[in-house]
Amino acid sequence: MTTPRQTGIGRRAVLRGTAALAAGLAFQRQLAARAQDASPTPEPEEVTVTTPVEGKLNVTWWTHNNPAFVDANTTMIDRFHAANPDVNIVYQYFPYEVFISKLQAGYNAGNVADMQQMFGTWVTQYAGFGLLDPVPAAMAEGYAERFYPAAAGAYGLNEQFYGMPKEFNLENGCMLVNPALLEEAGVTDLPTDWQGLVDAAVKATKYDDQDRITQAGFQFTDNDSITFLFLAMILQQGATYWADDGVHVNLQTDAAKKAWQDEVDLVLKHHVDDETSYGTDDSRFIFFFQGKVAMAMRGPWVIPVGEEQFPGLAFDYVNMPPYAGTENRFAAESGWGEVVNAAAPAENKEAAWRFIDFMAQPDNQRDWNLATYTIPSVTALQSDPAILEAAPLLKAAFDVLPLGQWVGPVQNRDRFWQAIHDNFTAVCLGQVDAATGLVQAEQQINAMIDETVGP
Amino acid sequence: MAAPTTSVLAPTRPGAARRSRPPGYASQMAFVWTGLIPILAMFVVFAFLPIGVVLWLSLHRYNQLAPTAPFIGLNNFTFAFTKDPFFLGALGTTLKYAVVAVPLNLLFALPIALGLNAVPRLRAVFRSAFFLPTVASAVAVSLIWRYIYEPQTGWLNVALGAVGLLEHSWLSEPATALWAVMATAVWQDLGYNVLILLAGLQGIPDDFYDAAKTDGAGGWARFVGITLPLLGRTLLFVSVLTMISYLQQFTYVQVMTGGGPIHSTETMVLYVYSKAFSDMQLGYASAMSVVLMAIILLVTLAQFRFLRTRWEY
Repeated sequence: MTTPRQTGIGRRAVLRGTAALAAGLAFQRQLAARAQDASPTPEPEEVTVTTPVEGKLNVTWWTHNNPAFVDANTTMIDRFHAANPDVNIVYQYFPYEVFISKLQAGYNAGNVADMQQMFGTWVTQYAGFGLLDPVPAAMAEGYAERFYPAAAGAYGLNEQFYGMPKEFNLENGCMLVNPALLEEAGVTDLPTDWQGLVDAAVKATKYDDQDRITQAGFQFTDNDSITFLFLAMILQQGATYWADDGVHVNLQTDAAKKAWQDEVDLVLKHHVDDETSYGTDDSRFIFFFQGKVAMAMRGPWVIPVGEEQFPGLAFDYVNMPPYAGTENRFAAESGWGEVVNAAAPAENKEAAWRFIDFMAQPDNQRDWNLATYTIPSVTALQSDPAILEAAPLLKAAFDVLPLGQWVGPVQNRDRFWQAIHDNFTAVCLGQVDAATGLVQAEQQINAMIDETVGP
Repeated sequence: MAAPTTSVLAPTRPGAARRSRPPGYASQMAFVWTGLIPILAMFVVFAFLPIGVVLWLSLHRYNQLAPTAPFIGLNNFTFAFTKDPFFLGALGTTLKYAVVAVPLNLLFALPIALGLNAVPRLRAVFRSAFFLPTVASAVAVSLIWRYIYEPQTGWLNVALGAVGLLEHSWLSEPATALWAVMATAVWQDLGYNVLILLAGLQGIPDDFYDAAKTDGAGGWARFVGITLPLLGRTLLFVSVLTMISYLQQFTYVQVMTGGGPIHSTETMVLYVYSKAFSDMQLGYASAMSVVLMAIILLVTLAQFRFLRTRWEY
């Protein structure tokens, strides 16, 4: 699943995407109809799935309204109730835009639910203001080994953890491939190194009479992928994008400059993709499923969306060749998981953590991930046979999970990504040269960090 | 004129006024209490009070999630003008938008209103046709125009391509994005201004035109000598309202471009919105709102100063 933003079209597109995601699973066709139907329908402000029960400990839980997530959450509640008859989970869900405001306003006013489903990147900020309850000591033991570092990174602050992730938010290391278009371009074998990727992309790119791309060889110029690819290219050279203080970024290293130039060259020199070809819609992966892209760097969450909307397209999901070195190292954000309100009554917090821990048990987590078509956050489910049997294309994703590292304290995710994206685009449009664009990106990110945490 | 024998305006003793209230005083007071005071109260609660809160917030470092909101004086304002890499850009974009789009709107609206005024028989039909886009949802209009501007399948590029003209990625290129958004806004707002200007034109007595014709004045002379001066108040009204509306532009840019590409369509209100609700910096967003409010006030005063008319008829 891609990274949701707190505002903007991208966020809504992502949510619709994940809704249709679950819908696309062949083994869960009943979800497909529900998810697809639910997307265009105006959502109610809130929906209460389960109500308080007298005589039981009522623990409230808020989540967003993605139909697949709601179904999976409800299943978890049913199982937990069966195993814990003394506790009643009072479950409400909200449309995305409402949910984000609801969290902010609820924590501000002190009337938020006992636990919430929260995107990992937001957790650090809420935890920093003392609003979240740390994971109880007993559950925190072995936490680092239990979850992938990339999935759990944003849940940690000052040597404590403030929630449990349910998914590994993967956008790196894999790509969609259209074998027919590659074959048509004379590419018979999948590229195994970076140069091979560039060569194949060049061969598979087509242009119109105004030299505009009509078929992209390697699609990566969307807001997420430009940044994820850039950070991965730095990491694969054995370098880092963080400055020595661990707070600011340093994009003036040789590795960063080389990565930036080579990424810019994909557009300016090799001309295998061009952001201006796609308009303003964030869902550019749709072009792949329309048969207009030979290779596309995207997370696996787009697969069911494409299968649902464009059935019949023969495609594959494979590992991208590393840019440098032999390992496909990458940076990832922490995805969706559960947090507990620090101000909730002690017994509610205790029951909430029990429920969260219950959902994170491999058998439950597997079913939750299957139902939502998300990648498990727990290492125990690495290459899980049941998941691979249901969704064989996820094999490529599983192969790279251990190579991911948490992206780090980006502070304001949207502005971090936007700074890199905008300056990359400015370079591609000829507004600034590559070196200036990289300097500006660094300045804008560090200014944002200073603004957020203080210089 | 003889002095009134009984004056209600000059009571001779304290309290005399209360005893000699003018006729209808009670009903006037009833109207004040039942009609005006509730409206005033509404203004206080929904306009003056929020403005006061915004002013307070602008002087504090206020994050919706933070437990405290320390007073920081004018730091939010100095940060905006000296350190924020995007504030001045958003301000410039907003001013550019308003300065270009307001005259552009009037440039189209006035000739259309003049034309409608000259065709009484079909006036209602054309008036409705021009006004129709105004009643549509700005979000819906923005979405429609976004598809019209799509680089590969949008109608505009399809039409341009059909006649051999160069196609563009209208909303994806910084050079054209703001213009494309402006065109959409002007297209939708045009009908409203046409309607107001038409009403103004219809309020100009025919006697003036008849007299001018008798004196041998041509069409252009009548327009410059009679129509424009006598339409001055209406033009002032239209330009002030349109200017305020465009300085507060949000919907079109939010839906069509989200402020991009590369901040090229990021208006002040959009930037304020993202700071307040995405970055959760309500104090800083409030400071920028105060700046925008001051700009709107100054621009409006300037319009009243330079566009005011001394004509009465």
